[in-house]
Amino acid sequence: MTVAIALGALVLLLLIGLPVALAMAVSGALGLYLVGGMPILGGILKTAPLSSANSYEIITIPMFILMAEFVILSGVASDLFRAATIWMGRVRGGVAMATALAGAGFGAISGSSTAAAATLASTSIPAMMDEGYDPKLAGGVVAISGTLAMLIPPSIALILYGIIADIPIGQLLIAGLIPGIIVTLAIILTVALLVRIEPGAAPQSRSYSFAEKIAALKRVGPMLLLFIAVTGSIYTGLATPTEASGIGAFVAMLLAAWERRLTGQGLWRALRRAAQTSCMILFIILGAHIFGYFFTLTRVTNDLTDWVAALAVSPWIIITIILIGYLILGFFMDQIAILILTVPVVLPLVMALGFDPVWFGVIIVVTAEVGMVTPPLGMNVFVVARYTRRPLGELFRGVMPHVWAHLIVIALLTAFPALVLWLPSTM
Amino acid sequence: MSERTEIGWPSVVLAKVETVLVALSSIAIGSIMLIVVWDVIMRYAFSAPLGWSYELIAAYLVVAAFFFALSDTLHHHGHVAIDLFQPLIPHRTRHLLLALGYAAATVVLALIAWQAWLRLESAWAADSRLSTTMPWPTWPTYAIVVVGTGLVMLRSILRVFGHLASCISGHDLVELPPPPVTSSAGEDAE
Repeated sequence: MTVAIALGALVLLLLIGLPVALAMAVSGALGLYLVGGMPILGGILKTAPLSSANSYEIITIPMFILMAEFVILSGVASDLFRAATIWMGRVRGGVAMATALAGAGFGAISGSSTAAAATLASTSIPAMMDEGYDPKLAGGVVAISGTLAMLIPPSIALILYGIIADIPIGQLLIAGLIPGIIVTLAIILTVALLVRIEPGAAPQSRSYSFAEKIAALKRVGPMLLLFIAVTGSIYTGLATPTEASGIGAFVAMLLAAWERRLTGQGLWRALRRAAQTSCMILFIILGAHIFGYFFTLTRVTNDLTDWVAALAVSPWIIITIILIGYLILGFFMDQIAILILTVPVVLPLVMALGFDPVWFGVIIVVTAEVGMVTPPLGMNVFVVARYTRRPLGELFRGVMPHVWAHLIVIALLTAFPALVLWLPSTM
Repeated sequence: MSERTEIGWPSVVLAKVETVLVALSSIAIGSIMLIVVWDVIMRYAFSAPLGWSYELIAAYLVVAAFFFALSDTLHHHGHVAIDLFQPLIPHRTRHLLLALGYAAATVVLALIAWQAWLRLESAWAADSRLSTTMPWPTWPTYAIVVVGTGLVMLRSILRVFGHLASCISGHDLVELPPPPVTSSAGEDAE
C-alpha cells in the first residue's frame, strides 16, 4: 500500500511539472515516513544528501561537462565538420555523411547529446542548405548524429550508469566505443540508401585536392589529441577516469586559450554552465537516493526480481520487453532521469537473468538515445528546429529512417554482446 | 523574463545571493580541475602526489560545487522537469498543484537543512576531524549543506507563494520555465 501511495505521488508530481529531483525526493520522503515515521526519514535525510555529493569519483561529471564547454568555447568543434566534408569529397550525400563523422568526432570530446546537436546544427545545416539538400534529410541526419555523443567516450550517460550501478567507469566508457562506431556507420549507410532512393535529396559536392585534405586535418589535430589524451589514457590505464576528466577539461581550456577565445566572460560562462548542469544531474541523483532507500526498505526490487525470475519465460523475451519499455520511456522522459529512476530496479533483475552489466549499460544508453529524436520529447530535434526554423513534423519525418536503422543496431548489439564487451575485455 | 514576476523584491534579493553562491560553485569546479591536473603532474613527473587533494575535493569542493549551485539552478529552471503534460491541466488547477508540490518540497528541503544543521552543531562542538592524512575539520562540509539547502528552500517557498497567487488571480505571477524552444521555432517556420 505504501508503495502504491509513494509511486502515485511520484507520478502525480512528475505530471504537474515539478522538477524530477524534487518529485523523487518528496515522494521518497513520503514513503519513508509512512514506513518508519520520523526516525527513519530523519536518519535518511541526514545521510543521503552528502552521500550523493561527498565522493571523489563523481567529479568526472562536472569535469567532462566543463571539457565540452571549453571545446565549444574554443570554436574548433565547427572545424571538425569542415574537415569531414573535405574528406567525403564528391560522394553524393557527402555533406550529410560528413555530419555523422563530425558528430562522432564531437562525441569523442563531449558527453552531451544536445550540445553536440546544437554545434552540428549551427555548422552543417547552413552548409547543406547552401548545397541544395532536402531540409528533411539535412535536419534528420543532424539530430541523429548528435546522439553519438552519448555513446562515444566520454559519455555522461555511461558515467552516470556506472555510478548508479557501481560498475568501473573506465570499462563502461571504453565499451561505448565500438557501438559508437557502428552507429556512425549506420547513419552513413542510411544516408547512402536515402540518396540512392531519392537522388534529388542531395546534390553531388565538389571534389577536393589532396593538399586540401591534408590542410583540413591540421585543424582536427588538437581535438584528436584531446581524444587520445582522455580515452587513450583511460584505455591504457595510464589515468583513472577521474584523472582523465580533469586533464581533459584542462587541455580543452588550453585549447580555448590557444584559439584566443578564453576571455574572462567566456571562462565565467563555461564554469557557471558546468556548475548548473552538474548540479541538475547531482540533484536528481540525490532525489533518487532518497527514493531508492524507500524502495530498498520495502523490498520492492527483491520482490520484483524474484517474481520475474520465477516466470518460465526465456531471458531474451524479458530483455526484449525491458528494451521496449526503455523505448517507450524515452518518448516521454529525459534520458538522465530514466537511467536514475530505472537502473536501481532493473539492473538486479537483468543480472539475475545472467546478462552482463556493462553490456546492459551500453544497450540502454543506445535505446534511450532513440527518445532523443522521436516525438514528443525529442530534445535533439527541438535543438535542430531552433537552428533551422523548419517545422517539427518535417524534421521528425526526416529522422525516421535513422530511427529504423538505430533499432537494427540495437538488435545487432543484443544478438552479439561481444560487439560491446570485446574492447573493454582487452583493457 | 524579468525578476519582478516572481513576486517582487524577495526574488531579486534571493537572486543576488544565488549569484554569489553560484560564483563560489564555479570557483570550486575550476579548483577541482586545477588540483586534479596538479596532482597528476606531481605524481607522474615528480613521484610526489599531493597527499591532500582527494580529501579536499571530496569533503569540500564537490559539496560546494553542488550545494551552492542548487538554488541558482532552480531559479533558472535548470532542473529537469517534465513539462509535456502541463498544458493539459487547467491553468488554476496546475498552479494549485504546483504550489502544493513546492510546499511539500519545502518541507523535505527544510528537513535536510535541519539535519545538516544538527550535524554541523555536533561536529563543531566535538571539533571532529576527517580520519585522513590531513585532519581537516568536518563542520565546513555541513555548513555548505545548510547554506545551499537553506537557500533553495527559500526559493521553493517563493515558488509556493507565486503559484498560489497565480492560482487565485488567474494570471501567471510566477516565473515559468521558458517556453520550449520548439514552439517558437516550429511556429515561425510553419
